[in-house]
Amino acid sequence: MTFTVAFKLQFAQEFTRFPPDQQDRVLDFVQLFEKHGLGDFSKYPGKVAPSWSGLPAGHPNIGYAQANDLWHYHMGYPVFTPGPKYQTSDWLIHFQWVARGTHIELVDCYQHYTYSGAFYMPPAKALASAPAPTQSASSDPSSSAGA
Amino acid sequence: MTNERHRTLDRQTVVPSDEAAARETGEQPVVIDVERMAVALAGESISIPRGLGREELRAYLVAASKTAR
Repeated sequence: MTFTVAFKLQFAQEFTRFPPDQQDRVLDFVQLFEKHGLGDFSKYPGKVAPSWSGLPAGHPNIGYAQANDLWHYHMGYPVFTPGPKYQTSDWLIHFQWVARGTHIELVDCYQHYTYSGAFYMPPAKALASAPAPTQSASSDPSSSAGA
Repeated sequence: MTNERHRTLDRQTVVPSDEAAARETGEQPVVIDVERMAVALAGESISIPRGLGREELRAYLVAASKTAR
């Protein structure tokens, strides 16, 4: 089976502002998708999830995310944080995955904020067991497109 | 008084706390910046040729970024 990837122009423009190690996380995702598709999420070190999951019933973003087939991937930048089932990270790649097919489109990449506007903080338990950051990558929103 | 109460209830309905959402759904919700997403979605799509090596892929994305008008 052939898996293909496209990206939105805005995504490419943001990509050029990322430091090389952050670009690497994007390239990891593209290469994993080209090889495996998304039939088996265990092929990915980070969590893959539909962007309407986790929102409370009735939230307007549920309809928006579903109508646009929006999913996100925890790209492991600046680090992966172990969770009960999946590893998560501050930075996400947002992508379109129509009808769970063989093609995705990379749409956006920004830091993980909760919908009430607060910056996402993993549970203390997860932080305690998280590995130390291996790089001093900047998460300064001004160095990317921000969140 | 009644109106204030209704506004409060509406706020609670539309924007419950992250804790409440996590309790309801079992996971931390992720924000979608709808305005920013809409701009990205409306933009041009560029396909990645299959079989590119890692550095070719990086170069392809960088080159594509310069096609902006």
